Amino acid sequence: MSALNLKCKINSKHRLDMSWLSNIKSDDVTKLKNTKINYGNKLCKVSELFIVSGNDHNEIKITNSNNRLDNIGHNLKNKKILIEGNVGFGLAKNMDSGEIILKGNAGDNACSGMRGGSVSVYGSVGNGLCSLPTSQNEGLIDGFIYVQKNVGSSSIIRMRRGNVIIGGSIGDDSCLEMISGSITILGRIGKNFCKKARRATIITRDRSICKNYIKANKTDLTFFNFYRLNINKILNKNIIASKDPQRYFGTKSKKELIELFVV
Amino acid sequence: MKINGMLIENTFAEAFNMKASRVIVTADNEKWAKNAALSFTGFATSVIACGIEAGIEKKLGKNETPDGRPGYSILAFSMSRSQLEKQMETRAGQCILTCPTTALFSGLESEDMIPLGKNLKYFGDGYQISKKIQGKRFWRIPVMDGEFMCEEMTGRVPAIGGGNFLLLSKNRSSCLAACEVAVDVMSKIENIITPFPGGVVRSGSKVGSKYKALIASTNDAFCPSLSGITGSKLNKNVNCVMEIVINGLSADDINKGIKESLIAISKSKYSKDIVSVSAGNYGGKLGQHHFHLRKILK
Repeated sequence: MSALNLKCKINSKHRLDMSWLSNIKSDDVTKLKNTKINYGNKLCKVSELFIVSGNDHNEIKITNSNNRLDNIGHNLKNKKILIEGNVGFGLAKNMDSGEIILKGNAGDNACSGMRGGSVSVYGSVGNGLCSLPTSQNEGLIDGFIYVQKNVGSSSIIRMRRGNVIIGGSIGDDSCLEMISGSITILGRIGKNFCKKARRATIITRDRSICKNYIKANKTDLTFFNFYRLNINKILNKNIIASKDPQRYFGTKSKKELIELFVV
Repeated sequence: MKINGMLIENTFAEAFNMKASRVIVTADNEKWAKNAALSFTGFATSVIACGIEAGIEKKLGKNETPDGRPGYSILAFSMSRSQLEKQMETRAGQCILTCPTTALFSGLESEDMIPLGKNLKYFGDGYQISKKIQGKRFWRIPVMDGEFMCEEMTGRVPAIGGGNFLLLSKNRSSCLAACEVAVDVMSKIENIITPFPGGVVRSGSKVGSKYKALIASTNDAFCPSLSGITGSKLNKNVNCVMEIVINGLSADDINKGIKESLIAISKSKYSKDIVSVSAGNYGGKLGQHHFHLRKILK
């Protein structure tokens, strides 16, 4: 068995909904090639849009991808998807489990309503990462997200749990109404960060947000080093280098139990 | 059968199905990790009255623990799931939570999980913080030295308890020294523990008693002081008997423990005082596992 390989043949004129990819249940390549999908206002065979090879539907590789391929990894369960190139909106939307590795940039509303699994983006992500999906109350229910570069505005809304690591900056109006979870941001943080949040752990280098929080005593916390080691191990990279962060706990309005580690 | 001149009797140890769990306790330094581990495994020699049988499996270096601090791996065994659950939580709360600088992690992955810090979190009085990393949930409970970090659940697996052998010796000092050699060897083997004090037990028991209230009583057949008046299994040269009880995650682990420790004893200077090596059993009708000494040493 070799990974199912989909090489995009077209530089799409129309947007292409790729949510069908998560539902492949058979290793039969001929059947997959003849599967019909919507493209513009007509039905096309998969083989008309992609060069298909390999047969392991649990491990999918998309090459020559472009930013008009939407909803890759929608409702994904127990599959691994590796993408080379950019993708459109809705990456890993409502993803349940499995793994997505993107070597390129993602469009808007990536990981919206994600429930589990792991998404690594070796590039930037548009606006609305972990935004609220239609008719749902939480933008990120669980899961692990790594973005190597920047994330747009209005991201990570009403996060319930999970871990988000952002190597670059995050835009305005992000992390609103957080319920819990851990976020690491190594770049700059936009305006209106973490408004109306209830609980959260934020690890950041941006000192500009510290003024809103209460400086905590310098006590040894097992958690920070444990978290640092785990994240560095998962990403195989020294993402969080500092062993001695300044901790802030609670907002000055004393309503929210937000924990801030400035590294 | 003799190994290096030490007589191995044609008998077997009778052992039982048990449930086991492993936890890892860490602390700022090895001293406090050990304090916590010793406290957790205290009063855990026999399920007869302690609830569980527990012991330190091995010392862990900084690179082997989840939080990069020195630690100890502990194995705990019980006859029932409920007893194991109860004891693990109680001991975590009273022995690890209370010990300065410690943290507690699961040491076993299993489909069957039992609570570790699941109820302990309430000690945080609402200030506890939950963290989920790679599918595992951890609790951060604020305490006076900072915080106590504890994994929510730990794995439970089927295991075997009660593997054993008896050293029949000419004198007490050699018997004890030979036992120490065996325990030292077994402390280096993974997946097994010797739950009794220092790994050695002198009060081997038989099933039942002349007193109705007791389910076990002294194994008179192996008591040198009673050799003249009971159906003794000791000859006149035997003046001391000590037993090593081994609990393990599998029969292979126990086999390995018995084999390597008996070979080590036979090569030691104390072997000349060992009259023979025997094993404790109940006629083979009670335990599900039989460890035949001669088969193991073949």
